[in-house]
Amino acid sequence: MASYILRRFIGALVVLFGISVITFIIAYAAPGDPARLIVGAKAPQTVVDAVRHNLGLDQPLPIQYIHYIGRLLHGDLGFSYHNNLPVAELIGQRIGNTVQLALASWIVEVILGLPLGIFGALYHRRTADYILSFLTLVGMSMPVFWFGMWLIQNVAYGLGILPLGGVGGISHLILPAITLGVTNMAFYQRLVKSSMVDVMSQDYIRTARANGVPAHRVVTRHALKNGLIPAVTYAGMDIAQLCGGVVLTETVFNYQGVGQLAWQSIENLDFPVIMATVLIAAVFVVVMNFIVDIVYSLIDPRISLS
Amino acid sequence: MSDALLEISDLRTSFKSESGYMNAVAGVSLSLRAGETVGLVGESGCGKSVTSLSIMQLLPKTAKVEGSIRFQGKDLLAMKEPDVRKFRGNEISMIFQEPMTALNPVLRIGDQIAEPLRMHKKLSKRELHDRVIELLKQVGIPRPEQIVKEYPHQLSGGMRQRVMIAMAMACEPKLLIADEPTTALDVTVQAQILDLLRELQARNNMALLLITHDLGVVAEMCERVIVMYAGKVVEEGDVRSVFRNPQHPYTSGLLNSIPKLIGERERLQPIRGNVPSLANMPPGCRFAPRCPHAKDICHTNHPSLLDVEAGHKVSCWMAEEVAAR
Repeated sequence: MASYILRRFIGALVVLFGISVITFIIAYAAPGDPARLIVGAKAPQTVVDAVRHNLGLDQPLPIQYIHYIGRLLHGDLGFSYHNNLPVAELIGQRIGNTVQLALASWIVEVILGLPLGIFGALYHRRTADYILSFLTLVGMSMPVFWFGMWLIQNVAYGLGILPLGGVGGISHLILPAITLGVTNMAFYQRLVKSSMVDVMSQDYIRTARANGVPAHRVVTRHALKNGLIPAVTYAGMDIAQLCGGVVLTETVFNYQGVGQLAWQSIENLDFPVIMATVLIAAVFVVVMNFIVDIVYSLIDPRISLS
Repeated sequence: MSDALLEISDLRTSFKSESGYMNAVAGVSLSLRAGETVGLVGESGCGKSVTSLSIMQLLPKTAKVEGSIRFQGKDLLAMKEPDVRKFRGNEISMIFQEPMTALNPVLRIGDQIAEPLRMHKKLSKRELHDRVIELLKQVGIPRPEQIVKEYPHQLSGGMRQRVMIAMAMACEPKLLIADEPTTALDVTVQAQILDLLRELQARNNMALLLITHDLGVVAEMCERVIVMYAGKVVEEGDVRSVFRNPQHPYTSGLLNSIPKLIGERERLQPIRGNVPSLANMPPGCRFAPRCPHAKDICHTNHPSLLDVEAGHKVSCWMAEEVAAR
């Protein structure tokens, strides 16, 4: 077990190193000069050059990267050109919001997707299943910005019961979480349905029924654990993605999260922030993959971590 | 036949398909007394497994089961699902061909064996655990205290089949249906499992319906044998009587396709042709197209099941002719 964790940790470092190289190159290959952006369009070239020199932007790319990695290893994510604040502080202000929204959305996705998936499997190829499949397809196809705005207009504004946007407490989480939950739950519904259809036709389900186990217990005790394995894989990627920031939803709801920050930074060519947000998203993916592997081994005894 | 434990009469099981209903079992009648061992034999697709699943009502919803299946006088087919459930795993148990897939891969052995007990008996946690250990000992599993905590993938095929048997025996059923219990196992393990079944059966005075295509197993285990062909019973009787004096050409064909080790070696005589498909059943005797003795009447009319001697019945026009003389 210990050696497994060590191997995974080294693997994670390699992945993160690769991602830092790629984002670094992409960020610096992008058009636009951050120094010019900082000092403004009318500043004389000498000032721009001075700023470039101060930021180290006049040095060769590999040297810049080494400086960047050196600072990163000391926990220094750099300094935002645009906000005049340390990147770590900017992210720190928002990461909590994003994680809250991610968990709230994920709970909505699972609460909707899991039971509807089981339902679809039990009514496989019957009318109820066809209707449900159609509805989940509709949910899946709705653009997040459209559904989000529709909720703002009809629920937040129309009924006047929930805030229009921004952050602060559970009431601010409800609408964005529903937006993400309804549009993403279809993936869980479909995964759980197809794997449960498969599981319900297995021999061990017949064994359970031959032992006099009633239908509801056949599903919950004998089938569900087997049927959940594909959904766990997806949940890992899904949570990682949500925690990395959901750009559209956060923008629609003016929700101060990492996704909104990423979008703003791209608009402002604020490279240190862009790189930090990408790196954080990557960290979430790596961490979630690790957690998924552990959950696998808990669900399915045939999978061992060593 | 008031002493019958299980009495099936005119069982017809059909499956819905695009071209209407397909008859997998077409009017099967059979009965078992308490403590009796009966072999149900036939080729793959002859309806023997469908018959057993009809008894337990474990077929998919697309299946239509008609006729009557009386267990201790009560008609299982007339019951509602929750009432049938009280019999499953309790009065009637079943073991299956594939021990590799019949156990749930994510549940512990102990929990799986305890499941029928949880369903049908009210036992405390302690009693449950003790009973499971006792069952594992009964089926000859070493280190039962450890095995209860293990998962199916940690056991061999023979051990898993023993676990299946322990599970089936949990509530001391009056009838055990064993559907090809040894087919998937090594030959040496097969003999052990058959010995175990015989021992448990004698101890609990349990009836055993042994479904198999292996006539050797029937000869070794059973008192009576029922031969099925294409959804119908073609011959039934005491094992001795049927094996020594087979009346139906299909039964003789089956017996002739067993290699002999004693006496002069002869060429095996396989039965020509294949089992007819469900969609395309011959109108008369279903074996007629493959039968070396088929006459005109065999192709048009189905023979009834007729007594040839005490307890030995056959469904064949040749036997009817002999009887008519």
